[in-house]
Amino acid sequence: MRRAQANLPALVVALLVVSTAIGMSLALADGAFAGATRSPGDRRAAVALSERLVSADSPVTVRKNVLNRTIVARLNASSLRRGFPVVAGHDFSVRLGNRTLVSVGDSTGGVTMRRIVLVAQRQPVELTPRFTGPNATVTLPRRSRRADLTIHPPAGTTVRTVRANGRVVRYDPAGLDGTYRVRLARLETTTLALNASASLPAGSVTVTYYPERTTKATLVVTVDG
Amino acid sequence: MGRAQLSTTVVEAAVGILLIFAVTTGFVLAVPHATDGTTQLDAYARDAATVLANEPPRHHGATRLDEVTASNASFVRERAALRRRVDRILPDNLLFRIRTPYGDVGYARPAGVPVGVVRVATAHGEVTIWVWYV
Repeated sequence: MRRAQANLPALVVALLVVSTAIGMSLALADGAFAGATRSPGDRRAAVALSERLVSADSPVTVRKNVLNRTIVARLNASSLRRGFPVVAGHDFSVRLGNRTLVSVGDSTGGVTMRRIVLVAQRQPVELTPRFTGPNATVTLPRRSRRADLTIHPPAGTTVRTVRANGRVVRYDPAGLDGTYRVRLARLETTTLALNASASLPAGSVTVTYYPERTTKATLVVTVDG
Repeated sequence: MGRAQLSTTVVEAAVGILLIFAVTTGFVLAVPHATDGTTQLDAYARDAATVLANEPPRHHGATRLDEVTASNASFVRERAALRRRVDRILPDNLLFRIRTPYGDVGYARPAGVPVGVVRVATAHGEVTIWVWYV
């Protein structure tokens, strides 16, 4: 029975080969699973929080991707949790540039999302135009969403109409005198035109407008556990 | 007979290995791969487009994107300023390329690296922004 004897080494070799194959397969499958494990919960929370913070209807933005400097500075952990319940139960931090706005728990090593934002601030600029003739026009040097007009015409002169780019924004047949707020279009340069009964001396009209100053920054949202 | 016949055990082992690798292939191919970071890159591209679409123009038009795509002349006039502006907006570890109806601005797009992309419609045509890590 020489054949039965020869089967024993063949069996040993076969077992060896099969167990090697099993080992290699396990290593490959483990690698595939390790690559797929990327803390999806943290990632979802980080992406969602960053997306909602910069969205147009977020409480901290003026419009999409433009943060209001004053409101952002007031941001704290409880207001963030209330406004963005997606991070409830997570450790997270929100940074703007290299300044930490909010940090809850320990978020080092979590999933980080970075967003490019502008930080906007409006500051009033006063303009005292000089006019020649009764049809006075003044072009605002920078775009602004609104303007405050202070009109004090000299005695005997009446200002009836104020137009912004041809659109009537103020009209009083008895004459305008005082401070008026006018709404302007953000996407166009505005020319204000005043219709006065006589030439307006310098200083009788003051325009205060609110140009937006923006600085770029990176909003960094980190969420962990 | 001592003929060179393959032992049944070895044949069985070979079949077994085939089965094992079949299962392994299932694991390796079916498990989702880690994304190559395009979520973040897409977010960068989208943010850059939003910022450009909201900025006042340098000369005419409603926004900066509108100005750049308005005509060939205004594109040629604005391309250097656009490149500088996008360079300033994007973080330092990113490069970009912008395609407008009148031409491209930015760096040459490399092959084989993850790229974030966004397409925005303007009144004069589509603007595409690609960003990638340096």
